[in-house]
Amino acid sequence: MENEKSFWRIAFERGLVAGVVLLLISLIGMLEAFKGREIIGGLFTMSQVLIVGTLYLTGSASGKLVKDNLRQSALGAMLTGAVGGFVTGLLPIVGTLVNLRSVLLNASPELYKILSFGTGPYVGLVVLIIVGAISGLAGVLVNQVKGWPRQAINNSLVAIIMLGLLADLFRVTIEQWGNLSVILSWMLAIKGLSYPGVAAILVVAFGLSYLKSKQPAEKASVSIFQQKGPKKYAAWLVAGIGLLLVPPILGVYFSEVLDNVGIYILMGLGMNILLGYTGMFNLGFVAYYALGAYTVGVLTSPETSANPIPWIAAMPVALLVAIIAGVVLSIPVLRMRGDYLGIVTLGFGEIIRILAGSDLLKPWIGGSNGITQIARPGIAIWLTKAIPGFQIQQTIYYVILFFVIVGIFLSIRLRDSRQGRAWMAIREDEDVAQAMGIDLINVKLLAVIISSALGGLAGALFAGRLSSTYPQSYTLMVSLNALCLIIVGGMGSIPGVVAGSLALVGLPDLLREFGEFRMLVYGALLVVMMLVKPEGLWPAEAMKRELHAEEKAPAAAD
Amino acid sequence: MLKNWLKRISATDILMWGIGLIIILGVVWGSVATLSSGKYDSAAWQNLIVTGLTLGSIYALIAIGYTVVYGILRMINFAHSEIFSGGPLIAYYLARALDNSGFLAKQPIIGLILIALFSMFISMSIAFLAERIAYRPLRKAPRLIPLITAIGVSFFLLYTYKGLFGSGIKDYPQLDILKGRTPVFGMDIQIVYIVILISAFVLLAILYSLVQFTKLGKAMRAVSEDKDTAALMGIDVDQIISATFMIGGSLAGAGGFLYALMFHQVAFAMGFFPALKAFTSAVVGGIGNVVGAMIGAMFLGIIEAMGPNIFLDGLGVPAPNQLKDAIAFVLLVFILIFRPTGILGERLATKKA
Repeated sequence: MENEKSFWRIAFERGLVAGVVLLLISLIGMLEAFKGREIIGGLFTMSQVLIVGTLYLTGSASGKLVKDNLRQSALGAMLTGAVGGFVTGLLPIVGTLVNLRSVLLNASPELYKILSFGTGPYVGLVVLIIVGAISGLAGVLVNQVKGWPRQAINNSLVAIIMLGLLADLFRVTIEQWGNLSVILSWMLAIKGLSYPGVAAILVVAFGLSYLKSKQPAEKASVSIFQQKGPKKYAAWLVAGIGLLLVPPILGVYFSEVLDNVGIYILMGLGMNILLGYTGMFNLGFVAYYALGAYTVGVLTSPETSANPIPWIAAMPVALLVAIIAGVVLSIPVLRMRGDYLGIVTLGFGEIIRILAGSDLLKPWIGGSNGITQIARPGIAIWLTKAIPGFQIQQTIYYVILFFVIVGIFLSIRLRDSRQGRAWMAIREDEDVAQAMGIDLINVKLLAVIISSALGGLAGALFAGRLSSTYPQSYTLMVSLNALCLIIVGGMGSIPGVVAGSLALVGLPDLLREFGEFRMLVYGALLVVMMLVKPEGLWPAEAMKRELHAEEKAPAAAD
Repeated sequence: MLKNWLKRISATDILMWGIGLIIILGVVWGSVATLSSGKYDSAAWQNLIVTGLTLGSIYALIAIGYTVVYGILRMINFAHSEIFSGGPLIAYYLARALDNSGFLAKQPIIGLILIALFSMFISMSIAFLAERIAYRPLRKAPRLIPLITAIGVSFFLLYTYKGLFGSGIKDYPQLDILKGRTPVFGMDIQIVYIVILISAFVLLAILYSLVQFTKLGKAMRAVSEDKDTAALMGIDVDQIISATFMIGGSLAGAGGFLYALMFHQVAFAMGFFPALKAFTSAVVGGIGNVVGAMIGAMFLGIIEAMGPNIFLDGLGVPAPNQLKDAIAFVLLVFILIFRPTGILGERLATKKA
């Protein structure tokens, strides 16, 4: 279909799309929220990165449409960028003429200033058009670079933006090293990265990409963890020691964020067994999480229990409760198909939340006041006392790390077992799986048991970490978070779960400005991932084959 | 005979029927307890029934959107809740402008119709865009993928509303002509409820005749029967799907406007519960079936309005109205377990489609 339209028209339309996207991120307040984040001190703020980045990406996408005519592709990309800039530039002009603010909360003079790069609205329009054209052109030029330098450019851009965003946290972290902070403090300006810091990142990125390009191709594609021989063990050892050293090196705040990431990894692993392996859709995963947390709360808090027991004794009970709930809630719905299953489980999740906050169960679980004074894992408390200078967030990290490793190990072993293959057979086609002699109900129930146990474990850790639990924590968002992270990471892929949690739970926790837009970005991510890369960013092999089967063999479909 | 019968029953069935029986017993017991206590007089019951019918007529308007889209695409349009809330949320600004300029006080009926049309238009556009941008490229994808996309669209829209218009509750202007009560068939009913009921029924009647008696309706039914054959008969399937989304969207927008009339306020997150209940109604009536959705919605509206007072109160549950949202979910779960076809539907919940 796209061949029918002329290239220029497509480039023009992409420009309009870029403009609309930019208008949207301006008007929802994202640009203004990020104006204080300087990426490179005194040079670039995150808001400007968002503007230029959008125009750059759409421009380079337009440029890619033309294969062998550099002049045409460059002009097209410039057209896209300029149109995008023009559409965006109209906002400040309209905004100064009409008062948009009574409807659109974020249409403030401050926003117009950001959009026009500090100039007035009319000059700003011209500036935006020029910036758009240059960004588009830059996109095409980078496309022209081939091989390792292009890799290096992309990697260093990402690294600069990420490190620049996290510069404040980076500084706080370095400061607790005392005198040792000199090794890295030169990389930071007062806000954002310093010029030497940027230079260092560029050098490292180019160096690494160059070294990688020198390696033979088949070796480069295999990660060091999968290679044979002592190298592999050494790599695992280093990774293990690295994980153990995280709390003392990175400090309290990072540890707290990683605790949260770990809890979501456990939930993601549970969800992965349901959705990724077995193909059962569950939007009420939060129910298991809530049950795990509440069971631990009820059993260990002196508020709700006459004889409070320690966390470690309550945890198995929490798992059991979650498993029983999972089985009882699943038996009736096991025969249902994906989408119905999603809605029904969503219903379960909401019922649990409504019950937790209601007056009906108030005498036992505290109603909307929740439960406080929940016991923490004993070993974490002991470690906090044993190691001077350690906070509870840092020691509980080890507890969570332990359970995450157990969860990952379990997932891998199950995936490779007979059971795991049965799950995947059900995912691919229930009827065929049944015909092959798989007992659908039993096999599905096993998936539910394992995943609800992981969900309950995550809940137990959550309650033990915060030492309190409130019904407000168990909204649909938790299920959606878990869903989103395995979609982005890749359904059925364990590294995907870990990477997804780091990116979707860890990153937003680190960037406080981002918190507000978290769900918005998740929604957009779900749509974009489904449209562009349904197998996820770190796909499991089988998923990749399935979803791209049609491209390879179009005639075989249906 | 008995042996065969026993063979066919599994432990699962026994468990399910047991739970079902307990719930039915609870409902009966609670209702009897409430009725015998004489806590509510007949006027109170009438009030609850009218409220339930009014709510139900709004749910019916929303449920149509779920049901027609499901009928054609076999897909639950998760984003329908935000299509429903988008219309009244944006129409609020028109309502405010009309109110401030004094137009609404001078010409209340024209003003209300304008706001309603605007709300319908906005919801229709959102539904159209969502289908065009997010769902259309995924027609041939495995069936979980459109569902996940729909969830993404839903959250994207929800938080876009929040970002654009803020998270505050917005008070719809209240009109004098809609205040007060009037006697109908010997019952004392709020005027606004009558207006909502009549407009909802008019819209539902229009929809029904559209589906049954027009060429577009015929094409819609043909596409929902068999897309490929319909295409061979010269029907532009993509266009019909777009039209379906637009019809569902505009009815949801109208429902949203009536919802705003009933509760006088809108907020960015208002769509979740009404839409979930509307979905429940669609399932209760048999998803894919237009008339079923309307009946299911009325049923659900009445259950929701009366349920907390009639059986939860009788069971001695404190603050029963806290649990009214849970009732709809329990009903949904049980309908799907015991009669997934709904009242008037074909068996779809377990079918592969």
